[in-house]
Amino acid sequence: MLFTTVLPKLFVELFLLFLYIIARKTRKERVLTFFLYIILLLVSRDILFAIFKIPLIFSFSDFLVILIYLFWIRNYTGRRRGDFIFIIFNLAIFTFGFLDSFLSILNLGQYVFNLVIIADIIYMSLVLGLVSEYNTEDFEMIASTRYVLITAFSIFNVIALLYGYDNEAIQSIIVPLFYFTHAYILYRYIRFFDLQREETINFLQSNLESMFDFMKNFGNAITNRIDLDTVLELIVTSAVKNIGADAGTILMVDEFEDRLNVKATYGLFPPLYNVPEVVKVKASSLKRHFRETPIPLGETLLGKVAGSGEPVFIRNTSGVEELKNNTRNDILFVSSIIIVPLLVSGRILGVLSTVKRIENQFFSERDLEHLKTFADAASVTIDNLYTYMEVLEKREIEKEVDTAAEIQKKLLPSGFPEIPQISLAALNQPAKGVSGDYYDIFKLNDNEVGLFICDVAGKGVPAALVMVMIRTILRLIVASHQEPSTIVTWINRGITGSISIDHFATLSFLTYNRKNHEVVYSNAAHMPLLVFKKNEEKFVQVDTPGLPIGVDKNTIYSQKRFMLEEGDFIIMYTDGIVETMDEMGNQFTLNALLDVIKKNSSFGASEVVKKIRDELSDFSKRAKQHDDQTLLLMKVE
Amino acid sequence: MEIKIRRYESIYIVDIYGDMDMYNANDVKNLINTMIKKDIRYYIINLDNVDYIDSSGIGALIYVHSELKKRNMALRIVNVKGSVKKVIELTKLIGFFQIAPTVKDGIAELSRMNRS
Repeated sequence: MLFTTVLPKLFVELFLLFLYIIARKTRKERVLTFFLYIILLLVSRDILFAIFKIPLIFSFSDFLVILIYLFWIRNYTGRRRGDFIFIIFNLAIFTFGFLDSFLSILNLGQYVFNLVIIADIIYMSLVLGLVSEYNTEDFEMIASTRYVLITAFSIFNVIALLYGYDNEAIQSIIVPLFYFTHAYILYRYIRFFDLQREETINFLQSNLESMFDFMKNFGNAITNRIDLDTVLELIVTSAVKNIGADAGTILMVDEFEDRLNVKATYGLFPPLYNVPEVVKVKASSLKRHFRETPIPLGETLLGKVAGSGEPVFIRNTSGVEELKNNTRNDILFVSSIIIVPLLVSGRILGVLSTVKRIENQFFSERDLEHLKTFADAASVTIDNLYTYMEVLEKREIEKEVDTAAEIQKKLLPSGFPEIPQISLAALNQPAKGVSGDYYDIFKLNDNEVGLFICDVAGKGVPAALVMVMIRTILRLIVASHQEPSTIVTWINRGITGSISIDHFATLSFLTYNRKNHEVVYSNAAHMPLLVFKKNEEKFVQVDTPGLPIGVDKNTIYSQKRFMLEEGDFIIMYTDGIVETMDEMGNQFTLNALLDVIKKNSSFGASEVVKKIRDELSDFSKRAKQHDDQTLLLMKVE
Repeated sequence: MEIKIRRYESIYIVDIYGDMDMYNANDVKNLINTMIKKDIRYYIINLDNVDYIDSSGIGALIYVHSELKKRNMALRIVNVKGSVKKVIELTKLIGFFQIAPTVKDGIAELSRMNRS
């Protein structure tokens, strides 16, 4: 009897667990853990039920399963006030129920709790029913599973209400069958997740293509000395096409007047404020009105972004106070708005905005992220152009090298992300006349950090532009959580062909996860990675094969995985460090670098970097250096 | 840096003397470009007398290699040694360039191609 009722259930649960493990193996999504909770809950309730035979355990665990599903959906819909009441209501009833079954206060029948669960299912149906593409990210996934979820839960509980949980047929056949619902949901979810990932990659690739086009055009603009306005037009056009908008505009800050001037537009961009009726009569007069009316900083949506430096994203414009005149038949109508600031080292150059103008067409969070990255690249570009134009005006080619150094300085990260159990520090000493080193540090999520180092060959503004391009591509794809080897391969694919052939770069990228202590490292002919193992008191060099970036478009880069322990160091550096010269022309050497790190390995990252800096300046004294010196150090605390 | 050109039948040998760095990497590129225009098909770059090469020099070699390859012209880089060899190794370009030990070996390899 026990075997016929318990074994089929445990068998199905084992199957669910098997599915979960397979699903988890190749997918990092943390949301998947919800299914593990459900499986664990089912296993424990079946064991408890086999021992105690209290039907209430069944109802209570059903409530918990529904709760897990509700929380899972909450990941997409955001908070709901009803959930709180739902939890309190259930907890109160079930607490009383358990007390009642032991103390026999009212001797409530099991059917009462079946009815409670049916009420819970109705609540879940309401929540699921209200989900629509207008209020929920990934609505399609929920929509494709909600009917199955609700139907299965309802059928099962009605059967349970009619025949009771202790019915042997229910326990040995209906319950195990019902468990397959979870398998189905898991399957749908994985499938949705995989398709979405594929779609992201496709989207990213087309996005990268347009970015490369933009970079190429910009390169041409610089060599052909095209003026700033043309470049701004190019930026708006690229941005609109990039994220599938209907219109876009760039406004630049006029520093003397504290206002924004419209510099370039693409499509019919309606001013995001109300205009006199007379202007609305013709599209051309609306365009002229917008172009010729400066916007004071801090006023209207566009002015506010320029004033605060914070982006504005209005997914759905209906019901937004500033846009109450925004109706479907008005020429000013917009359905969705993104406004991002153009920032360089904290200075606001202007704003870039794109809109959708077709009813029920909205931007997504991802569009916002992409426009931000795009704006970042555009800002650096515009700023470079300003600086470069000044140089051209002065016709001082000597100055070009200084300009490149200026650009380089602006590209480096201004601070390090704070991540527990990791200390980070960097050293960057540009040599006069050359400018090729660049490093970047990313917080990929709460547990993962990404470290990047790069050495671009050549000098002057062209080399600095290669650096801008690498940085842009890097920032664009790092956000998509690709593997390091994929990121390096994509950077190479983007750079090769977009730059003149004699420019190349060596670079490496790694990620470190503080939870499982794993490093994933990919190298494009940069100096091999140094790892200091605290326990063995020795250094290990890690390297992967592959040509420098920019040499061959079809190079496929590989990656290596390894573990770190507490007290271990990771060191990324450029050849300029080990080739530091003293006054006699001797080199500092790798061994000297290793000695400094080993001797100071009990200190944190920033102390070690300080020691390295001191040793280098002691060694070189006043000798002039020929190459940039860059070093990036991470310690596991 | 100084560049001299010798000729052996249809093969042109470019001897480079001195350092190949960012101040003169362009000279090498310009010279090869001029030679490409004259439809010269077989090249040997001799680095016997180069003691120092920097990343711009390497960039120039990559440029020459790719330009010639694009046009189905042949190149051998010869006498790669010392610090020049070290830099090419560090940038993992040893297998990318077509390298021959000496000028004589380079000529032999290119002549074989010319005949076939």
